[in-house]
Amino acid sequence: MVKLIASLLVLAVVAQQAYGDFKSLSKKDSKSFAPVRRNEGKKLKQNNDHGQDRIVKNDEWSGECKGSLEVPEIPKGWMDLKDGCLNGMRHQIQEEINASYQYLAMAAYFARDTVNRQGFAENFFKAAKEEREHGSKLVEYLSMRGQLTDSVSNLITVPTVAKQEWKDGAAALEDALELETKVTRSIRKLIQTCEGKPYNHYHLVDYLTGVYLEEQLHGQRELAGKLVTLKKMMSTHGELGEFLFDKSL
Amino acid sequence: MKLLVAFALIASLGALAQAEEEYCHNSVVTACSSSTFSALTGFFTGESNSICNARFAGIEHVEPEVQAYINSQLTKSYEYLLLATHFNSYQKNRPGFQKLYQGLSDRSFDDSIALIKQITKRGGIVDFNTRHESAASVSTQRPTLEVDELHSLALALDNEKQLATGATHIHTRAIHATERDPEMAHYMEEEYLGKQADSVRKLSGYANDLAKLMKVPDPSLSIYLFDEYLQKQ
Repeated sequence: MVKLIASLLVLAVVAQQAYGDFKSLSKKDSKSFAPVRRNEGKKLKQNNDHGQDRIVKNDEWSGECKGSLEVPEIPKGWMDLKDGCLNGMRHQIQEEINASYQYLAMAAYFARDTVNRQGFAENFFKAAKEEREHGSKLVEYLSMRGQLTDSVSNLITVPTVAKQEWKDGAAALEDALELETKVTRSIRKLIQTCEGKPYNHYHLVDYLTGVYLEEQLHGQRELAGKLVTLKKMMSTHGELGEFLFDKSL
Repeated sequence: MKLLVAFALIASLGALAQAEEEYCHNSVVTACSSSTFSALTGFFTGESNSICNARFAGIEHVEPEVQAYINSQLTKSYEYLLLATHFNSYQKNRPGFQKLYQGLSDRSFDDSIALIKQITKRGGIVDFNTRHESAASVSTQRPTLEVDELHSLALALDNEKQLATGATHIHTRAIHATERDPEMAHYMEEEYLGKQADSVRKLSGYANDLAKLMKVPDPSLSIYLFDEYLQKQ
């Protein structure tokens, strides 16, 4: 009997609380979590119904939803990457992505059935992957230095490519060499900016010199070597030279 | 005389029909019967309008759709990369979420390359600059990516569904256009549709799980644990 009364009491309390939650929905009482739950259910259902709909459209979600945790205050002194060097890094990231796109276009050209230079194509696909990797490593570096807590959405814009067709393999290798030279120049400029007074970013400069320039210079030498060999083979044997060279790539 | 003319007409019609069947062979025959080598090289300049090419079946109908889809995959690849970056910041510090989105980004990039290989296998070309509007293309306008954990799962779920819709669209075109393309339909089924159903299902599961876990006054611990779970996936 006592149990029955107790459970009745519990029921009554629950019912009252539910009613209170319902009222607070209209009052937008931020202390109650019921409205959040209701919205969640509604939005998720909507999402299931229309796959294309963006959940973030609803403003009251971002305002009231408890998903956005507050960022606690911590000391800021350690975040010393800023101004010119930071902007230079952001610019360099886009440069790497642009290069990746250009290599992708080269690969797609040489993969065509009527061009059929699979060796070139595979090489350029590989280069496109590498450039993208370079870009994302620089992004990770910025995160490591406490950056990219905001303005992430506009860090990379999807580029267009300047060229989508080439006369022959040598022309593409020449463009690739020029592209690498451009990237190298851009890194050198970035190093200058980050090394300059009044604040020397020793670690970043070392990283850019030791890892990025290292890779650029070796890459340039490799491309130059390939280009020279190909040009020698093509000067007397033309198409046959390119055919054989492609198979050796 | 009339009979002769009629015969000649029929013979030439027959030759024409055969020519349509054997374009490439005919062009080689014509080129080789001329005394200069330049005629031969003229047919094989490597231009995309060469008569000798790998285009067959419904490639004309699916090519623009696949082109649009390649651009969609690339766009999404960079969107995911930035989403991963967002969760890699010291303020977010969610390695599990970062891993999830980095994985999706890499997948989309690899898929782009696979699609380029597929379209060029079929004698198609890729156009990175013009954005053909189709059900296989996605908006190039990037949504705000500075969102919290649950929102990001919702964004990713929508993304995955858009990509699945794009692949489905190519498949539909491949089997319902006036000239059908079973090879392309098969490729999409084999390489994309199954895989995409998996990733849509996975993200829907994540989003619903996290939404449930967050029905507490302070969801910070729930999100932390969920992130730990994602790291182990």
